[in-house]
Amino acid sequence: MEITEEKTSAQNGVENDYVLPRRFPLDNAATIYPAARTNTYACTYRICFIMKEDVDPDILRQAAKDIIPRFPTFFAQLRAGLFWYYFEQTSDNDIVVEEPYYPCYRLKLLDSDKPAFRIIYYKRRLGVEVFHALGDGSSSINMLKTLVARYLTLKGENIPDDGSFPSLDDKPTEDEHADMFQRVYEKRLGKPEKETSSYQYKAKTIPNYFQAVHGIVPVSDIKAVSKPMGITLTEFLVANLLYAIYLNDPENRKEIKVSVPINLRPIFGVESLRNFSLFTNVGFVPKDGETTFDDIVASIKGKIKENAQRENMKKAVSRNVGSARNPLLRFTPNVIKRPLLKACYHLAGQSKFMCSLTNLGICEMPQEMLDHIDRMEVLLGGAPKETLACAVTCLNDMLNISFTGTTKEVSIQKNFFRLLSSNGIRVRVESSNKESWEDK
Amino acid sequence: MRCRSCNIDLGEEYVRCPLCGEKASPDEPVLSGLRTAEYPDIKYRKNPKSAFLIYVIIYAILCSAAIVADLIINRRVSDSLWAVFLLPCVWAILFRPLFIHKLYIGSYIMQDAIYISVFMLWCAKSYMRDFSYAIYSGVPMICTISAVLIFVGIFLFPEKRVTALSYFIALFVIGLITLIISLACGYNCVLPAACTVSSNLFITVLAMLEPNEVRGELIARFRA
Ligand SMILES: [Zn+2]
Repeated sequence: MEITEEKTSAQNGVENDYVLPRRFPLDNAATIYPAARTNTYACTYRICFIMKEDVDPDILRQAAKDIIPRFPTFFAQLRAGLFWYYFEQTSDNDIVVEEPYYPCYRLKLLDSDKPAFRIIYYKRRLGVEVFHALGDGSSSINMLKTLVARYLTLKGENIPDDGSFPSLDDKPTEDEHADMFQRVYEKRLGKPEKETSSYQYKAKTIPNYFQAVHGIVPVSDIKAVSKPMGITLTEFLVANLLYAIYLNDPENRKEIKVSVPINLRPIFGVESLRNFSLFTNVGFVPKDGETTFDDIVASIKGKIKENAQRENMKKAVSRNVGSARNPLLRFTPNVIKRPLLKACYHLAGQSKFMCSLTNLGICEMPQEMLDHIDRMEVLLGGAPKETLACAVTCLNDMLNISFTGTTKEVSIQKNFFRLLSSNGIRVRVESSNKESWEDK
Repeated sequence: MRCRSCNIDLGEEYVRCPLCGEKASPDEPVLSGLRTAEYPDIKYRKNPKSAFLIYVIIYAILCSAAIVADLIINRRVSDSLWAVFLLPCVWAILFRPLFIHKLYIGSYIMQDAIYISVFMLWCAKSYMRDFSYAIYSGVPMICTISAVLIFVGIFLFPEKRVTALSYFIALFVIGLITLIISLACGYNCVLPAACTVSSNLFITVLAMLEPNEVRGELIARFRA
């Protein structure tokens, strides 16, 4: 899967400018998403800002139009080739919609001239819902920041370019749009260790249902608790989540594992506007008798950092790219490959963790933008059979911990936030399910 | 508002705690200055049920009625079996376009060509003992007609032009297969050759009209 040299005649600029081919291959991490999608679920996630004022849809539409040339890989739709899926840049880029049905509502793929993402707004909420094959959270945040900056500029605000997001004055570069996994790949690296399967949370799921529970927590409150334990904020949240899962089913003795995505950009020192992250699973085995929070902390302490070391990540990338380069797989027609990949994903990927916890870190932007934004939310569509997923972001020194899932069950979320508040952490909870707004 | 059981803040709008269901207490939240980011009312959408099953049931009833009538009147089923195969073809050719929205005309023509080809293969096998008649005449003929229709389509819908490329390639492959079989078995080769040559010609014309697009489409579609 090498990048083609095919160039569009429509995009002409200075000779040295990088022009993305109109049709381009999926990156290595993206190949799994078209295979894993189902009828009701399309591997979609949402990143949004809660503005201080209601969103103006007309200005937003204009802003969306203005960012198209800067993010060519996003304005693309999935197409099926004989052996692999690929992306084709789209002609109909009118994708601003008032929030439809429910969060992460299935995006139309393949048979559409619209891109595989949408821009949503509802009252103060402004965000994007993206098919994961287009790009990972970091790249979508960058696009969203540029979109919001443009939106605010069109509203008459003066937003300086401080380098914290891609500027519309800059041209797209080859590095931003290349498949970075191919560059990191090295032949004949040792294989990563085999993984054990994880305990799975069984709750009644409802097709086409999606619920988000947000916890808003001051960063200082969490750091005040995690620092004395000698663990990072992410480790604290992972331990807290593992403990919440454990408390939900204390009889279970199977290893409970949480999948934590690792952003490879800082590790390999690159900027990419496509997928460039990998997962690592961390967990603990509940012992006979009571497992305490400290036991869990002891078993995961330093694990994420250790797994995320450059050499380990290189091994994992090389394994993934290596298997995609296997001639047997390459020349298997897509119709056969898709169910194969789907089965592999369930057996080798999804069974190894119960829930994912993404920490997208601190979202940096100029103060002039922050003045117009209340907070930030990330909702993970999760894997097809994953009933619960969790994403964390930080804006204005406030953490937003969002649990999402296709079930109405909230017992793990309840345990999680009760554990936080029992540690003296201030928590505010909001839910997308408005049933608790009315008396029964 | 606050939930005293969970010890958490809730928005002003909350009557109950979304986590434990307890009644919210009108206490002052500990985190001040936060406003609820409202979601729209979730419109629960059931999976759109496919109408396919209903069509199959109607089809089965019609077929059974035809077979029973045939048995009673003629004491045989051969005529009604014709109807069994004709019905989907009539549906595919005459009624299906009414249900298709925003689908490129080429894919409609292509699907119909496949339906009719299968129908012809069945007719040939049932009435002429083997597939030969369909292979050297029926199938290549219908594929040639389809190729011509799609070729006209590339001038009527220039924005969808490149989509036709994969159809021409498919028709070319079908033509080539029928040509090889006809040559090997000594059948008349006129129609298979016509199909192969015409679809090949149309690919060439398309490549001349849109050289970059055709090249890009070919690379993307067949990249391994
Ligand atoms: Zn409560």
